[in-house]
Amino acid sequence: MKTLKFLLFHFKKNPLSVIGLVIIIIFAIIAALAPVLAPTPEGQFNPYMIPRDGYGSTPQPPSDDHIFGTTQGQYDIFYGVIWGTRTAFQVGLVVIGAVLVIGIILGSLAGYFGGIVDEIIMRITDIFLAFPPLILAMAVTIALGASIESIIIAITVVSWPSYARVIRGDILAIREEDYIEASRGVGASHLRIIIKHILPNSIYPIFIMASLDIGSVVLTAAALSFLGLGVPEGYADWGQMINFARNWIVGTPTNTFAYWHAITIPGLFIFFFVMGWNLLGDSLRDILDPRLARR
Amino acid sequence: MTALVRTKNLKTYFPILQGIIRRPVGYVKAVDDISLDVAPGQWLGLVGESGCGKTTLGKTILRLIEPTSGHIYFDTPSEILEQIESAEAEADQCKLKPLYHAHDLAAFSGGKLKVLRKDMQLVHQDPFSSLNPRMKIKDIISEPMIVHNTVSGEERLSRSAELMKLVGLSEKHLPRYPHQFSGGQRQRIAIARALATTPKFIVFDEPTSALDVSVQAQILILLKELKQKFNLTYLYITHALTVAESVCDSIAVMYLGKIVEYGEPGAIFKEPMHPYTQALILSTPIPDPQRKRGRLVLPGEVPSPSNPPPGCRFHPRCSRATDVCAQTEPPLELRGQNRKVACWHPLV
Amino acid sequence: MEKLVQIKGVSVNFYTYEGVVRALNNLTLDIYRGETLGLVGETGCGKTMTAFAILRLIMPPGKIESGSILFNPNGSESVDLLQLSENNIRAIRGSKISMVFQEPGNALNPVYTIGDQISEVILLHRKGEMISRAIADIDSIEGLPGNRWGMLSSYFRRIQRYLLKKIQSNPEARLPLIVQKIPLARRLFWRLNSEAEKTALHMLKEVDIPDAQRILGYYPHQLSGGMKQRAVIAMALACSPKFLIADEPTTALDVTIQAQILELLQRLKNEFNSSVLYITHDLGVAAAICDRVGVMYGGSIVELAEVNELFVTPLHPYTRALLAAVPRPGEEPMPIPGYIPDPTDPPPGCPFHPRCSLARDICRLERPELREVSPGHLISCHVDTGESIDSPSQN
Repeated sequence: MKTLKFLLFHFKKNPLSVIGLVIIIIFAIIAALAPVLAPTPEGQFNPYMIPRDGYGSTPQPPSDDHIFGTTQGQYDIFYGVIWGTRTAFQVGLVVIGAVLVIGIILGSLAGYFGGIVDEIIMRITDIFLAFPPLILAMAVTIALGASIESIIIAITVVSWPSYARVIRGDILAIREEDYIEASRGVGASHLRIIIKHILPNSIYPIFIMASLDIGSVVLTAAALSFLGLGVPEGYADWGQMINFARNWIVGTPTNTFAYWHAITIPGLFIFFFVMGWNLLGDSLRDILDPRLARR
Repeated sequence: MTALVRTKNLKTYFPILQGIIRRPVGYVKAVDDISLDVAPGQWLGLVGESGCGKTTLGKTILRLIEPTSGHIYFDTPSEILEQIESAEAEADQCKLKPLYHAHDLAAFSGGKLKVLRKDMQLVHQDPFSSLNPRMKIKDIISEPMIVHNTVSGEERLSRSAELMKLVGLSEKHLPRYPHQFSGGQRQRIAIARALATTPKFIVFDEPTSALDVSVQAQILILLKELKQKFNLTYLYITHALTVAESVCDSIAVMYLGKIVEYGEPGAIFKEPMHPYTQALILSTPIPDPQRKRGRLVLPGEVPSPSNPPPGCRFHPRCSRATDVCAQTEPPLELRGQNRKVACWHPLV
Repeated sequence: MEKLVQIKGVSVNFYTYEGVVRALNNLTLDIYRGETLGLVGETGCGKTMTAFAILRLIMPPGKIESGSILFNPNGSESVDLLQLSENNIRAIRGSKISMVFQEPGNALNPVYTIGDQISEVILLHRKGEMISRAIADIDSIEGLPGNRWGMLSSYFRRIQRYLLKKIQSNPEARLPLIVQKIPLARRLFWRLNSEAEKTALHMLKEVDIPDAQRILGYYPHQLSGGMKQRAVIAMALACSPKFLIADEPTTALDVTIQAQILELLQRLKNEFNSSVLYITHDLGVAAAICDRVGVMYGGSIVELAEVNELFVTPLHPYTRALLAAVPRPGEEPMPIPGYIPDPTDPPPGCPFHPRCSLARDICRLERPELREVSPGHLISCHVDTGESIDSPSQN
């Protein structure tokens, strides 16, 4: 009850955070209702492949048949962005989930035990951090072949080192606290101390980082698709849709905005999705941190 | 003589590491060759200023800090202690090795140590950081019971409630979080946690220095009641000589890693033997305008424990120092019944 | 004796998420010239808030609700500190009224040397003096025979003198301010900094820091607790304040170092002829160095008297209980029943009544006024304790 009161008090002070939450909820509803909003045509097996209305390359403007128009190759934009929401959530949540697990395990081991364990793990993260993230992601995607799974794996590989580092830093700060020593004095095992004492106290900054990162993960996935790596052609993915619109950004010699729908609509979806997560992450930080500080 | 806790030539040195390869360039000699006995049922006060090593000594006895060398015996029967003493006198290694292996706490490993942890506990100085801020009080208090499996699930709750009552708090507080309590109350919770496994020996690391005077008085009375009720033995670390003089049975005064005086509070207070003890007594102000203490000014600062002065460690600040003080360290010797001093020119 | 500071009916409230905290409740206190007044109390009684209120350091969500604090440094006219503008109070902070805080480690900025920090205070409040000295320094050189670079250095000196004179005549002058912002040209003011540093060195020697010249260049982390506190005291006394507020300056220090600092404070107070408001929770310290002692509870003063009288014949039940709770050799401390009141929900009437053995009905209803029961001895209590307790002696 007290938590709820506190949350309401906080949201009143910071209305932007509500906006972030609302945006994400809207996207979640869209993703959940995708089969209803944009039904898969009869006979098509994989709902993630965008239906094509012909094979012409010029994007068609919005019409009765295609609410948002079509993009290069006559892929229906409406279908693409709706199902692309699902893809975005998939990529975002799976990557962040995996990165959290790997980062927490390795970071905790490094931070708690110190010594040689710490050195080894930190050197490994150094190696991964030495590569420019996008290049490394590209390399992994190419090596694993074009599919949504390879994008997920690639971005995970690129993102986990920062999380491990952050957790390790937080653990180093907490490790010397009196209550940790008290637990040792009681005779608790290392595992118990890490799980029951250290992690609950150090994990909140990671969650904030994670929610802010979902946005950038989606952006990286979009960048990879934009470059033509990753998802197979025709897959419902925002980045891929921007890839299709690449050649049509400049429009015609007479009308620069002739094909605005092809680039703007997927772009807006990406924009709002990322902004929603960023606002949410910011507000999470404001909620959780002053609480910690007020102890 | 029975001793619940005995340390023999205990040393805890912390290496000072420098350079990329982290070579030890020196040592902080926090605890330097201390041999101390705590009798069962005793309330021993360990008094000294910051940097003298009293906290390190307390935590080393509990093996929360690893000793560099020396021996620690906990709850060892006196016959065995005598055996060890005689074997040491004869320097008989064959007899000593198995004895150490079986009884020397300093050599124990994880499993054996864990069993002992039931019987010896620590209460920290800072009540604000010794309780996990994200754990409920009932979880904090029941953790020792879970770790040592002393009490099963259902009974844990009732035992926790019992412990809270013992320390003067209500069981209504069990589902709350530490930040909802004041400093004095948190310290009581820490004491309840220490009592959870019915220990024999509790080390208190300056438990009341962060608390107000009236709260401190409450905690001291509580500690006295608990000690009588459960037949506990206390090692009470403090920098406030007045507190030690008020509640302890015996006092050991520490300076720069060594014990310089030992005895009963009444005797020490009336007739301090070591110049440092006298300086402490005279420097501590008390609210009694007739007995004007707080006047003596002891010159200089405490030297760094990584580079203690040669000979008697107190000699640079001592007004009675002579040549022998600068060259040889005085041993801790018995002077009268239950009184020990380490000084070449004691005041008495 | 003349009054230096008169605090009249000051109330301070904090509007927090948990409720309104009445930190100071109609506080009235006088501080005389040249005396050391001790303010004793436990956590939450409002003693630190008193210091902050005097220096107008109360930040939101805190608010000074009412009252006035009259300050009379020169013996001529008093000024109400609570009504001063921000600029005016800033001119007083550090120069006429100074504060020494509890944790010397926190009061010093870790990235500046001790010398820099003391110079900062000096340049803030004694700038005119430093400028005059710097100008005099330049003038004294002009007379001497020059060296090879004579013409050049003389030219630079003239520029420096010009700039310094400009600041002297008009502290707000734009040209020197602009020059100070330009990185290399800033060096033209080196004489000013060196004069400040000389004064800082003098202050360090005043506080008995050994090897003061070297300490000037040290960073705070290189000093021990006692040394840091001496440096902080040097900073506080750099401008010879008439009033020094010391907020538990020795709580974090060892007992032998505390004795040194207490002696230092007493000596300096006499030398600089200032008044000291010494805030502490340690009754022993108060007994050792204060002339008068005030006991605070629940945001106001409950007893105020000469030091000997307070400790020999304490009249307020809280003072007596507090003295009985101090551990003495061979005696057990007597705890005070009950707990320190919740600051958001204080008890009605007298704040101490729930824990007082003498509480009567009126104590629950009305908050007692601070009245003088014998010359110089004020207490705030409904019960006339002189008669009801057998022997008030606490020895």
